[in-house]
Amino acid sequence: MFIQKGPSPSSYKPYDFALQKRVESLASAPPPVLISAMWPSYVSSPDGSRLVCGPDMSPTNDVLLNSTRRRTGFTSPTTREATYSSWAENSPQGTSWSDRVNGSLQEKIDPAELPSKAALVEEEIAFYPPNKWDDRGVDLALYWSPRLTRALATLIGVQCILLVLFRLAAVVLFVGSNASIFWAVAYILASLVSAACLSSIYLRDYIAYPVEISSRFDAFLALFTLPALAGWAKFTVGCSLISWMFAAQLDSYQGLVLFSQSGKYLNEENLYVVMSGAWVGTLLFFQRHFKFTSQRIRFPVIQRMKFLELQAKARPTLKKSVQSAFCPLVFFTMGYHFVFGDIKHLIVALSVFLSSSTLEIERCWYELFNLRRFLVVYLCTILTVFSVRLAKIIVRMFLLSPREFGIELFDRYQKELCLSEALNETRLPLVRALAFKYLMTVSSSSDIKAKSFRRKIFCLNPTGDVPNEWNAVRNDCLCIIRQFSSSLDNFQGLGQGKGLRHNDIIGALPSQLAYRMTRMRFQRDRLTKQRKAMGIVERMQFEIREFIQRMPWLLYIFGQQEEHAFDFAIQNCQNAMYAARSLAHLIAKSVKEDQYGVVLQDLEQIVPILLSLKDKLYALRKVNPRCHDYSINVQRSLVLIYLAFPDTHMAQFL
Amino acid sequence: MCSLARFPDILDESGVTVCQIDGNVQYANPEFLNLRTYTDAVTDHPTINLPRDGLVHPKIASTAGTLLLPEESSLLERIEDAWFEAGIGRILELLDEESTVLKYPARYLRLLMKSVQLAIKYTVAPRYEEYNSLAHTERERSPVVCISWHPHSLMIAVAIRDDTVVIYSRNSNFTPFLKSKAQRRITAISWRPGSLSELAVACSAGVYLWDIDRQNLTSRPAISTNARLLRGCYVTSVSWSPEGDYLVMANNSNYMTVWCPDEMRKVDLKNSGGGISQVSWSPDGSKIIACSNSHVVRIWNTSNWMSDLWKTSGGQATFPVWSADGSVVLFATRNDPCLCRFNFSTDPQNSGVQAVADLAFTKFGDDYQVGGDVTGMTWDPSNQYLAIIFANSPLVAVFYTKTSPMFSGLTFSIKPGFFIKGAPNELPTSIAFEINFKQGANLTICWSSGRLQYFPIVSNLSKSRHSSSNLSGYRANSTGMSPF
Repeated sequence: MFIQKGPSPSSYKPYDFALQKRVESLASAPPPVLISAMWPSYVSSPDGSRLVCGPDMSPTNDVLLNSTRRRTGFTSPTTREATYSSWAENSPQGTSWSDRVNGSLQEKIDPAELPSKAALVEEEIAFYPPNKWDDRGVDLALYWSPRLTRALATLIGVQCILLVLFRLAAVVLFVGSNASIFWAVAYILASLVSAACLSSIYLRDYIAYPVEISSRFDAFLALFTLPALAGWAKFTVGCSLISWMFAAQLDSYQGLVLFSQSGKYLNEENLYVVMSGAWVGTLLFFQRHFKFTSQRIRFPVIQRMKFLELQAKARPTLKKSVQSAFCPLVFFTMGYHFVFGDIKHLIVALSVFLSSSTLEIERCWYELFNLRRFLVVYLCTILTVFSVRLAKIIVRMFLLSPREFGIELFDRYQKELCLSEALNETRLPLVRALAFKYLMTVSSSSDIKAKSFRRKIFCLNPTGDVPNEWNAVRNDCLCIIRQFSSSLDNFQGLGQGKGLRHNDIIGALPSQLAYRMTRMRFQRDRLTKQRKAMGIVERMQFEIREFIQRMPWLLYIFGQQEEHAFDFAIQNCQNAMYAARSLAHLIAKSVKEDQYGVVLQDLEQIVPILLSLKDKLYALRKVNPRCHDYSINVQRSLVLIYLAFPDTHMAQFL
Repeated sequence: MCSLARFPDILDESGVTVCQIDGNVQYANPEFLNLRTYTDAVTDHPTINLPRDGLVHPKIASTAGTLLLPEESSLLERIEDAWFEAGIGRILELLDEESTVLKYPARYLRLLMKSVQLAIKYTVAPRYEEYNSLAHTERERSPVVCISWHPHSLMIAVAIRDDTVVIYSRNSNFTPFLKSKAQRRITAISWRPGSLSELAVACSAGVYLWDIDRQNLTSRPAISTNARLLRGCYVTSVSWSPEGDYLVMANNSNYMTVWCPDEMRKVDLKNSGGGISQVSWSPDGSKIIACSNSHVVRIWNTSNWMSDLWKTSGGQATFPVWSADGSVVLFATRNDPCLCRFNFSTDPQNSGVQAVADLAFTKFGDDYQVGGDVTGMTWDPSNQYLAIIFANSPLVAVFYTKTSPMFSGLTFSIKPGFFIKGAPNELPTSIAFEINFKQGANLTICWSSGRLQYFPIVSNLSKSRHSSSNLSGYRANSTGMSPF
C-alpha cells in the first residue's frame, strides 16, 4: 500500500549527490516525455507502523524537474503533454492534486532556451532546498537543556525557601540548631545534588520513550537494568539529602558525627533521619517503577503563569504529602527498631574513625516511643515527599511550556526544526508532544498570529501546484492516527468478554481479576471447537496454559497482561488525539481561510480514518472509560468537520 | 437611560402575545392559540408536552401525624440516637436541654460551634442560605427549572421540577428522560458545543455529563451513559467553552472549576468574594465572567488565566449574557435593579462598566407590574433582542439592542421594545433564545402553568436580511421591527 508520506531524515542520502547526479543526467540525456512524479512516496511496513522509502523514490524527484522545466523552459523540442504531479499523486483517486486542480498543461518547448548547468542547479535548490528531508543536524538538546536548567534553578530556589521557612519556624519554637553560618554551603550543595538527582529522574519522561512492560514479572526483572538501578540510587540519595537538610535545622540533628573531648561518635538521631529519607526514596522509586502504564507526558489543562501554577499546586501537594508520608514512616519506624536496629553497630564497626562505644548508639527498642523523634522524622519525611512531588511538577511545568515552530518546509536558513520535522521527530518525545500541542493551538485559535500561520499551511508552493505545507501536516497527523488506530486492532478482543460474569467466578477476587477470569472463560468457550482439532503436543501445551490461567494470583504476577499494553497505548495517545482535533480544526477553518481549496480535496481521505478510529475506541469503551472519552473527542472532531461541510453525508455515521 | 417606564402599553389586555411580525406584536385569544395562522417559522419545531408528573406540586407532609407515638427512652439512648441521626450538634443540644451536670459545658461548646459555623458560612460563602432558599423557592414555584437549546440542531432540553431532563427534537417522537438518583435540585443545563448529544446538568450533587445515544431508542438512558463531575458540590452554574473543550463550573465555594471532560481532569481557580452564582464563557472564548454571591464580579482572561476584579454598586450581579463577538457583556444587579454593560473596548472612554437601563419596579395600568428582581435574561445570537423576566411579574420585557463596530471597539445602544404576556395567572419562569433560528429570533418562554411557548420575531424581509448579515459578520437593522 502506498501512503503519502514525507520521508524521514534517516531514509535519505544527502541530497546534494542525488541532485548533482540528476542534473548531470538532465544535461546529457534527452528529457523525459511524460513525467509521473513519485516523490516522495513511501511504502508502509506490514504492521503499518513504519514507512519505508521505495527504490525509485529518491529525492531526485520528478516534480522538481517538472517545476524546473516549467520555469526554465527546459524540455523536449516538441510540444508534449506534461503532467505536473506531486506527492499527492498516490491518492485513492489515482490522480494528482495538480491534475485535479489544473488539469494537464500544454507547454511549448524551445531547445534554444536551455539553461546552463550551474543555473539549473541554483534554480533547483532555490525551489526545493533539501532542508526538511535530510538530517540537518539540529541539536535536539536545545529543546530540553535550557528548560531543564531553569527547572533546576527553580527547584533549588524553592528548596532554599522551604529551608529558610523551616529554620525560622525552628528558631521561633526554640528547637533550632546553633550551627555555624558556614553550614549554609553544605545545605546549598545538598540542595543542588538532590535537585539534580530528582530532575534527572523526571527528565527521562520527556527525552526517552517509556519501555513497554507487559507483566509485573517483567517489571521486576527490569529493576535490575542499569537505568533502573541508577534511578533507584538517585531517588535514595536525593531523598536522604533532603531529609538531612531539613533535619539539620533542628537541635542535635546537625551531622552524622558528633565531636566530643573523648572522640568522634555516630549521631544516631541523624542516621535515623537520613535512613528514613532513603526509605522514602526507595518507596517512591518502586511506586514509579511499577506504575508502568501511567501517562508520562501530560500537558496541563490550562496554561497559566508558572508562579501561579506552582502556587496552585503547592497546597494540594502538601496535603497529599502529609497523608502519604505517615504509613511508610510507621513501617520504617517498626523496621528500624526491631529488624534493622543493628545497622548503627555495623556502621561503627566498619568505620575507622568513629569510636566504638558511645552513649548515642546504646539506644534500644524503647526509642520507638520517643514522640519527639517520631515527629521530627515525620516532618522531614513530609518535606521530602513534598520536595519530590514539587520536583516533578516543576520539571513538567518548564519542559512542557509552549514552544513555537516554523511552518516553512524549505527554508534553507532555518536553524531549528520546522513543524513537520518536529511532528515526525522520533528520537525525542518531548519535541513531538510540543509540536502537536502547538499545532493544536494554532489550528483552533482565532487570533491574528494563528490565522497567518494557517494561511501559510493552506498556501501553495512557489510553482503554484502543490500545497506542500498542508500535505506535510496532513500526512504527519494521519500517520500518527493510523498508528494509534492499528494498535487498537490488537485489543479488540478485550472488549468482547466485558459485561459477562459467570457465577462460578470467586466473588472475593478483585474486580479486575474477576473480569479477567470471566473474559478468559469466554475466550476458552470459543476455543472449544478448535481444541478438538488439535494434535497431542499442541493440546498439551494448550492445557498447561489453561492450567496456569486457572490461578489468577500466579497470572497476576507472571501473566502477559494485555490490559497493561492496552492501558499503555491509551494513556500515551495524547498526540493522536491532538492530531485528530487539529485536523478537524484546520478543515473547519479552511472554509473561510483556504482560498485554493487544498483541504477539500483530502476530506474523503481524512474522514474515513477518523470514523474508523472513533468506532474502534467506542468498541473498547467498556475496557477503559477513557476510550469512551476519546471516542467522544474524535466524534466531536467529526462533528466539527460536518458542521463546516454539511453536505459530506457524514450525519448517518455520527 | 432606557427604562421600563418607556415601554409601549399593552394593546390587548385580554389576549396572549404570540409573535412579532414586521414589528407588530400579534395577540390571540388564550383559548384559541394557533401560531400557524400568523407565521410558519416554527412549524417544524418540536411540540413540547411536559410529563404530568412534573406539573404536579409535590405535597410533602411536615409532620408524621398521629401514626407514630413518642416513646420514653433514657438520656443515653437518646444521645445514641442523636449521634446517628444528627451528629455532635444534636447531642450538645440534648445535653443542654436535659442534662444537669454537662449543661453549661455543652451550651458553651454549642455556642462555639455555631459561631465557627456562622463565621465559615458568611466569610467563605456569603449568602449561601439566601441562595439556597431562593433556588429552592424558585424550584418549588415553577414546573420548568431551566431550558437549553442545542447549538447545532433543532433540539431543546427542558429541566423540570421533578429533577428530570427531557429532550425534545424535531421530527422525532423519541424523547429521552435523563434521570438519576443523585440528580437533585437542577440549577442549570447546557449543551456541549461541537457535539451532537452531550448535555451537562448542574445540580446539588455535582454535574452530570450525559451522552445521549440517539440511535438507542431507550427513553430512559442508562446511568452508564453519564459521567459525574465535581461530585458532592452544589453547582450553581455551568458554561462550555465555545469549542466545547472545557466546562467551567461555579459552586458555593471560593473556587471556580475548569474541567477538561476528554481527559477527565480539572483545575480550580480561586475567586475571592464568596461563592459564585453564575458563570459564563464568552463566545470568542477569550474571557469568562464569574458573578459571585456578593457584589464582586471577576473577568477571567483565558489566554493567561488572570482575572480582573470589579465591584458593583448595585448589589449582586446576575445573569450575565455576552454579545456574539464577546466584546460586550450585560448583567443585571439585584439590590438596585438596573441593566449594566461591560465593554471590552480598547478605547478607555468606552471601556468599563456602565448602567444602560433602569429596571426599577414599574406599574402598567392596574393589572400589570414589571421590574425589580431579575430572574432571567437572554440575548439573541444576532444581538438585536434582549429579553428579561422579573420576579412576580407576568410580563417578559424585550429590549431592542444594537452593537455596531467602531474603530476602537463597539458601540452599544438599547431601546425599549415590547412586552410579552401569557394567559391569565401565568408567570414566565424561564426564557431562552433559539441559537440557530434562520428566520429571525425565536424566544422560548416557559410559563408557570407548564406551557412552553415559542415566540418568533420575524419579518417578511427576514430571510434576505439575516442571510446577508451572516456574511457581513453582524446583522443589519430591520426596517419594520427595530427602531434603530
